[in-house]
Amino acid sequence: MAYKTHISRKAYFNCAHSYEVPGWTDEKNQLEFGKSFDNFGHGHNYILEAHFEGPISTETGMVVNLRDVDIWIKTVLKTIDKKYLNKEVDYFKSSLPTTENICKYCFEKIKDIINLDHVELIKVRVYEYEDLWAEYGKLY
Amino acid sequence: MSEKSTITLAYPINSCHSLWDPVHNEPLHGHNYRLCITLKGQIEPSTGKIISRHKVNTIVNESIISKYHGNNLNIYHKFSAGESLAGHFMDDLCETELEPYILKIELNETEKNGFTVWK
Repeated sequence: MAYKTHISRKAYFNCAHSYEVPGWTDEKNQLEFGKSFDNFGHGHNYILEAHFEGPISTETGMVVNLRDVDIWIKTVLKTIDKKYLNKEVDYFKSSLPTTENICKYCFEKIKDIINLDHVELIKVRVYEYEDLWAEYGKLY
Repeated sequence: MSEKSTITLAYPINSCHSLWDPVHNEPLHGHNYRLCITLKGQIEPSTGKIISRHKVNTIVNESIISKYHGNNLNIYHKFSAGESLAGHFMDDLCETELEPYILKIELNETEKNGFTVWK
């Protein structure tokens, strides 16, 4: 019997970011973002999990070759890994690099880069640290 | 189904409980519970967040952590098996401002036991 099948792949990246809403007072920014409100930035060891859906190939027994998945993920992470997101990545000059927005960015970029018709990116999860993570995709 | 966004925050709750019922026969013992709260909503364009972390932490501390962390769960609830506790925590959270945002909570009792409740 054929079942709906997902595969997921983890990858790691390290970035710096800071939070400030232009136009807010320093007090309001401080209350909302705490120590993250500064111009110097701070960093995280992020973890990305990308979840894909597709049929299991009768030829290979796989939904998708992880070699292809790694190429997609590495291509996207290369644009943000080891960078100060607020200052070096155009996407985050207008959208704060919060966990939610980094997750959304990774989902959109990976989805754009997939070059196989039978594979769909279902969701991306990004851990900022062990106790905080965001998901973006077909969730509920 | 269009794309959606969630944020999950995890909190430790170190508490004790005992289980006495037709199925369980366990005297008082403790766990390092881990409560994972998943919230849904639109990403606010100005803050880049679904909801303020500070707001979530304050509400969770007031409604859950201050009550149960470092305490005996049986003081509050007759049934304290993981699945019942998850339901009780959901009840507590649904009485707060977080209610419209809640998608699910997951309570990990040990490395082997996890209980998920969807609102």
